[in-house]
Amino acid sequence: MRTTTGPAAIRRRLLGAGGLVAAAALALAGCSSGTAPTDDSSSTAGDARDELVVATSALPSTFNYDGGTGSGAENEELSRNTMAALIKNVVEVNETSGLPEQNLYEFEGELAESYDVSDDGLVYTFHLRDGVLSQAGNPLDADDVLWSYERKWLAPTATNKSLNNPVITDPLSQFQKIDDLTVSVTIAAEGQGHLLLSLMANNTGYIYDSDLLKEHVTAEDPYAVQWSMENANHGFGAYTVDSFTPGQELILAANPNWYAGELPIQKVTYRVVADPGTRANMVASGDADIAESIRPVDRADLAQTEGVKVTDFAFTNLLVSLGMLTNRAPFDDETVRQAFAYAVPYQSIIDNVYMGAAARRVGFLSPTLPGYSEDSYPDYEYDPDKALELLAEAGVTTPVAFTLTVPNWLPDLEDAAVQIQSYAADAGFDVAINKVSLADYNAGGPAATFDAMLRRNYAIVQSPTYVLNLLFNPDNGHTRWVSEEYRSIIAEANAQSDALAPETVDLWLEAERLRLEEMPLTVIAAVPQLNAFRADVQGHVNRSDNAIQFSNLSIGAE
Amino acid sequence: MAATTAAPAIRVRSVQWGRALRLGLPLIPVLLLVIVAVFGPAWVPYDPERIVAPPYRAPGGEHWFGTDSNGMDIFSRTLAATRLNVVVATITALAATLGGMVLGLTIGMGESASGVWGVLFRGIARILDLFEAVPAVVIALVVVAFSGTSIPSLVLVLSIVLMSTQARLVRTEVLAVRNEAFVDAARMTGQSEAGLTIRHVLPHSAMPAMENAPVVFGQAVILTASLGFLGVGLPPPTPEWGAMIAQGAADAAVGRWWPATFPSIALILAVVIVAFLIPRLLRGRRGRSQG
Repeated sequence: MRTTTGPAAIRRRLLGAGGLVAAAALALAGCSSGTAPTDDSSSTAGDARDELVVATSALPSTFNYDGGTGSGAENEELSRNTMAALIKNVVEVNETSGLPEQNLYEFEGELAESYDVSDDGLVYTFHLRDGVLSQAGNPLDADDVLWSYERKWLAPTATNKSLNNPVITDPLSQFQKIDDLTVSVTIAAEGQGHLLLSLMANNTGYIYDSDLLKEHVTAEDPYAVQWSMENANHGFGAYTVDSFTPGQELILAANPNWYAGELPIQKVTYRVVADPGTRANMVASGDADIAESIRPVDRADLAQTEGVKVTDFAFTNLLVSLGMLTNRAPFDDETVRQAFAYAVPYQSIIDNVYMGAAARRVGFLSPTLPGYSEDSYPDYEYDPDKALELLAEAGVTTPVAFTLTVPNWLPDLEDAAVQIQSYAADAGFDVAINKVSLADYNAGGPAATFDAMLRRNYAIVQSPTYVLNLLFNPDNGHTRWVSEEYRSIIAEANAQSDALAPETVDLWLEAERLRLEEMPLTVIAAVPQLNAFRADVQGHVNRSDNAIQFSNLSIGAE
Repeated sequence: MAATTAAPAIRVRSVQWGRALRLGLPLIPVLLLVIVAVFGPAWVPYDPERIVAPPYRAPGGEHWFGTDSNGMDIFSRTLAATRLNVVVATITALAATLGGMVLGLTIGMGESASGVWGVLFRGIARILDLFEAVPAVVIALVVVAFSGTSIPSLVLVLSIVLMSTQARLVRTEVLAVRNEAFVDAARMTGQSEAGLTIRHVLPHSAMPAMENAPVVFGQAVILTASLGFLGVGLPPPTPEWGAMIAQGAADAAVGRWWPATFPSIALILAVVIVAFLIPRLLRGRRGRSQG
């Protein structure tokens, strides 16, 4: 008789488990197809070629950001494709890369046909397009704009208030309805105009279908935030959510009401494929048109694969950085922080983790900022001797031990942490790596529980004041770095009449230089977008939100 | 006559040799595993936690098993991981077996009692059944979420998870032994329940759990690897087979087969050696002593 609990039975189960592990590992190793394309001509998604298949690592967790739980690239990309703002950044072909990229300093109408600015630079008037319909078929009007901003501020879970500081502080008084298709926004200082437009052109400025959402308002949910988190298609975006199977598949369909007319891509099917190597294989073999969240090493392989392309933009705002908690040892000492900045193997991370495709960056400000220069910045490169010298100067015992926290869903950051641990050992630091889940990572950073943490993120709003403030909120910034001098320089820059004038740019650079000297955080590199496309997918634009905007795409010969 | 007496002698010697071979052959891989676990980290050509070369060097003369995504030597890491995985599994097997004996004895002796204690022990017995019904890795994931990931907490988690099997084996034996005549006789001599449990019940109930200890060892190796594979194991870059397999799995999918293959082979070998050859060895020795 076969027993179910005796040693023999357990051994049988163990054999099964061992066999399973063996089979899985060896099957992966032995049966892989490499990255060679199987059939270039059979590229996916049916015969119509107005459909795309996207292999992704995860699906959005919400249909709306305002619940305060919508961070993540998947949510960002969904909102970018299903929502729309009054304006957008102008897209131009970059001379260096030959690829379409956002001009971060020029704007044009999206849901608004145009906008104009008063002579004193304080009043922005937006002229809405006539006849624009929402995904639900409701017409766009000034009330949608006012209600959207009211919701962004007054909904109990609203997260927009701090993001819009200091330019929009009270939308109820700053936003005025001139007529059904005209809205004005008044700001306090002329120099904040670029920040206003940057905010209104991105996810912070999406306009909701107020007619639809008001139908779902309840006493507990006065702005239908909860409803819109669970129900899609409440905006004016280019695509509608056609179907959603959690954890498996999301299908977007072109919005027939889209203001700009018929879209070249009519249907987008996201398929969840957990393994990054398999996602890379799918785009190589033509089983997917786009692979998202691939590993840098797979990106490098795919760049050499026939029928596949990756995008080498001249500039990305996708920055890997390492923040140090400045209000407790060991990083409460500025000299120790500087020493650690010399212990980070920047070039090794670029070469070994990002396969040479990343670019060394030291600051958060965009290099595209007019007059940008790093000449005044301290020169931090890997220099173990310099690090040891600084540690001796600080009078601390070496090795300086601390824990470096990395998110467990970004393998490139784990690899970067291992590089840091290995190289920093020669520079007087004993680094323990702590891999944490999404929830622990998102909670621990703002709560200042990590000695140091690696991040890979981007400032969607590429206005200098936004970028410089984003990670250094004294209340919940993960470094807890407080510098009155830094704040006063930014305040002085904000008071200038033109945020992009040479003298103002000098102030932005001065703030960045100060941050680099006091070193609460070291920027390691700007990394490439980790997507790959079939060669016939055209039109991907380098956006500050790093999302793929399907309304820009088409399928055809290069 | 000489010929007739020599044949049985040769037969006896060949039987002895055959028995020695049957006992000795399984011993060789077991000894090899122990030697690798003890001395392996000292033999490795490179520091298993340092970057020593560019990433993804294919297996070759300089790096026999190649290098991984970080540029660490896979041969050194696979060897170094042997000690960690074997030590964790050995301590787990000992702790789970000892804990399981205590628990199994206590429940087995106590669950026939009337009143609250009886209810309590019978309840614990059902909980042990429940543990058996839920995949160990799921329980381990939950416990790790609270205890964190370090070698002591990993051992604790694995011991708790695997103790239930040992406890159930002992309890089953206790239920049979506790009503034997020799136990009643001991009870009638005035021995306390605790005393007769330890002196008379334990020696007759512990053997199944002890025989199962190598299996627990194997389970511990696989569970450690599973937790590492699921990303909740020991912190990187600790050399551990499961984490190495997890790290290399995505590489295997795109043709870089070596980062996952070598730790997979090591894992399989260790489990086979301990879970299958050691019990065979024990059975052989017991058979000899009985013979």
